[in-house]
Amino acid sequence: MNPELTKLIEQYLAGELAPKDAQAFEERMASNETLRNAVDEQREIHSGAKRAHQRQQIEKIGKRYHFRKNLLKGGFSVLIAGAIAAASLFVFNQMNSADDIPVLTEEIKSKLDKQAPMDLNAQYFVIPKEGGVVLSEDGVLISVPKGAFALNGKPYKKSVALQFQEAIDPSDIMQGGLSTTSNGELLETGGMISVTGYTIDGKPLNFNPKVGVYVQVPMQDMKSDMQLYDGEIQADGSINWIEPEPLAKIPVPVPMSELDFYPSGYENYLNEQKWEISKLSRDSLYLSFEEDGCDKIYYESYYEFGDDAPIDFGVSFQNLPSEEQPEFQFADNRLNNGANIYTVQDDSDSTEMLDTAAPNYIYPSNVLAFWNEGFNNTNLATREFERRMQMVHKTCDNSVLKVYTSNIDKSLKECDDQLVAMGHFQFKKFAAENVGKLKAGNPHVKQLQRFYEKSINQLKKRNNILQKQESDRRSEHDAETRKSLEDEAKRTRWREAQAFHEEYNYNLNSVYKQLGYSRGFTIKSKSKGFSAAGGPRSAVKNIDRLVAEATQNRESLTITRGGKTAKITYNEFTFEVANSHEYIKLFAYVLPYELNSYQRIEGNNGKFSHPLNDAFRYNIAVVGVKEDGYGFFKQLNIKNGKLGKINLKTVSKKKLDADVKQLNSGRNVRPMRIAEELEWLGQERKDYKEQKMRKEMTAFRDEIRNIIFPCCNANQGQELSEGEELNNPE
Amino acid sequence: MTETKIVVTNKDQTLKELYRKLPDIKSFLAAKGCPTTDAEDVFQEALLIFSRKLDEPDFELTVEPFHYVKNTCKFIWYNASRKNAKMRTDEISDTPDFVDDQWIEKELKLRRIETAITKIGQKCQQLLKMFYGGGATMSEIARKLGMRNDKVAKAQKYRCIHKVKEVLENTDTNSDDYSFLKS
Repeated sequence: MNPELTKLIEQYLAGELAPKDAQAFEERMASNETLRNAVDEQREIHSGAKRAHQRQQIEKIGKRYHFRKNLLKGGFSVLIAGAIAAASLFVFNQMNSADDIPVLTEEIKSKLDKQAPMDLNAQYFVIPKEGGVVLSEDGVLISVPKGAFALNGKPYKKSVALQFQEAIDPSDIMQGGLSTTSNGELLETGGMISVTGYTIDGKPLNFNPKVGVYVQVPMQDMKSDMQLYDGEIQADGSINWIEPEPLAKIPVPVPMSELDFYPSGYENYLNEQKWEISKLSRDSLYLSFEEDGCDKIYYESYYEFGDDAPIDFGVSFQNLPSEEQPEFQFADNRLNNGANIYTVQDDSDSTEMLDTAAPNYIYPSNVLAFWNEGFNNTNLATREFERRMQMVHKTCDNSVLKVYTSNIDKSLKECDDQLVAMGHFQFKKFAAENVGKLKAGNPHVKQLQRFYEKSINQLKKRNNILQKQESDRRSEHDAETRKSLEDEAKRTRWREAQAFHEEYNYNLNSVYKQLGYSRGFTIKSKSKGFSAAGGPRSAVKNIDRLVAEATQNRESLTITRGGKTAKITYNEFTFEVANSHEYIKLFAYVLPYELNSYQRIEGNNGKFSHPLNDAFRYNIAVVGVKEDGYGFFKQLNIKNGKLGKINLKTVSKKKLDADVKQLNSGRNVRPMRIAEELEWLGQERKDYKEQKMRKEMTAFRDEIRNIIFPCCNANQGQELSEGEELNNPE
Repeated sequence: MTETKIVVTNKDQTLKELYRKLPDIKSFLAAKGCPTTDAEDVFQEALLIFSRKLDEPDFELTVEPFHYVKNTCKFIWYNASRKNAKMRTDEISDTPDFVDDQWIEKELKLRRIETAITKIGQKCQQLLKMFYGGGATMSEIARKLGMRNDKVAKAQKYRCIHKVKEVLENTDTNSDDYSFLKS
């Protein structure tokens, strides 16, 4: 590479060549591909350099973002601590004032506590200088606009420490020793509150009469002649209520608590299912669909019992193109053992196919965020909006909801009109109703907007935490089950090998003895003179091989050599467990007296067949795992026979433990590893319940999803909501 | 719906606002298997692409900026993971129209050059960025970087460009660059 060429190209690109030279250069370029490429490359380097410069700007924004976020964390800690102390307390501040939200020290708080006018706990809020809206423990909404307070007769423009006391419940009123007398006459009270502003370092502030603080108190029932009284503290500490003023006439059509903003059918379905009644639970359930939307979430694992149990992954694959079917892996290879674990490969990312660019559902958080007393007395707390909300859910378009929630200061009619203009013609009939606004120009309504946005974030966070807890719990359970299963598989292999080995050795020794060989005799391969009874003449097999086969298949064997005959006999042994379908797992433990090892056998639909070696005496124990306990059966000293139908006795885990131990104690050999076996069975039972719960939960959630997100399953969904309506505007 | 054209009047402010959505992007990408350590890099790349797109004279933004950036993130992440053979190619079949995938591919090729630029000297990097990105004149650059005069700066520029070319020559020319992702 020639530096001079680089320079020449630079000069050409910068337009620094003389016209004649530039022309010559272009001619050369036309015929020379290498040169053309070199020019292109240098152009790209310029773009790259520009891009690198632009990247610096993005990175700067990023740095500032993180810086502010960290500041924010610091500034918020006190407020968050406050929120934890009072469970339902929300404190929201304008995010962009984070740099200068001061902290109210404990010292000042305790000083202010002493000055509190009522003998009740005080709540403190720090309101940033831009103003803010807070909600008290009892749901009193306090909106403090910028400049609401004054110091020395001038509007106070810095952050304000708000001391708030409330006695809304009669019990609080009594506890606070508060009287409700006005100049000696008794008043009926709807609650008492105290709002005091302080500077951050504890100097008292006055209200600025030009702005003021807006307070909204929740009411069980609104009495039309309620008035607002000023409290005058008397020398003896009691309060005299004076100077009544009529309350500001903000119409209160319906309190939020009486309205229903869930998608239609949601409550009915839950009632049918006798699901929890509390709104908090139902809100949480509704909120839990926030992230998933229309996506069905796959099981991380699926564990199925019994050979003939249908394998159901709890999800339908119809939605997926065939090549997108998730791949399953067998966590262990005991396919025919009745217990299979399937793992959805993490990296197949199959849920992605269900994701569409624009979500076609209303975000639950966006509904729940306004559905609280903070939004009483707004357009949203009206029967009119309740009816609109039903239609909003049917549009499956969150931007429709946004039109209402971001225009709380406007009338419903204006919102309806806006939606019709956006192409949502189903809102025409609402627009025709001409619903006006509740109160014109209320400056505090604007603040509610921010309150709403913050509530959405809070709800989302809450949901994420809950979802994560559940998903962590599931992963943990799955890991436990997998571990248990792997351990069990290991034990089974060990046990089977051990059992086979011991029985085979015993059989082999017995055969050698019968044939007159001494112990330890080995037969050379291909030695003649032995033939399997009933086998083809040509089949010359080693004795050990024949014994191994017979032991493995549990079949009787006769070997003759010269005049001597050796026999191993297996007797038929069968039984059937009554009501076998009641058991999640059913096993029989076969314990020969003469051997150290034991076998665990599995039946087929409760039918067991396990030929017994005539040389041994056996103890039999049958264990069934039920959802609510264990079933147990034992019989001692068996050599053969058909036991027919047997009934398991329901026992507790403790009893089962004792029973099995007892079974072992009769043998003067080391007991089987019963503790591990029981632990495994316990895990199996737990997992059965877990999987059943997951399956039911999935089915339940599928039902609910169909109700709350009407556009999810039907193909009508997207095409209808956007395309058709637009093309056929009535 | 008639296509609405969204006009971004204050790019810097818009980018700042977009940046605040980083947590949303992180969870969005996490759901698609992108580790949180990579999410911000993907996001920054998408913001850069968006910012550069805004500078295009004939570009019309038809969706909310956040929507645009989010889908760009998705596209970048898919491409990156496809490059890492983590994902099959047919899974990005439906990119929304407003995502100009060719443009993004081109942008990611430029990323390769950016990476090459980071491999030359600090002074050279600053010089190129100031000249081609910041629009500084050679005299300004000479003053800021402590060079005798604009002629020295200009001669230096040729050398810097040449160095970038040398770095590029030693890298795979056909690949776009996803090496910024840690995993």
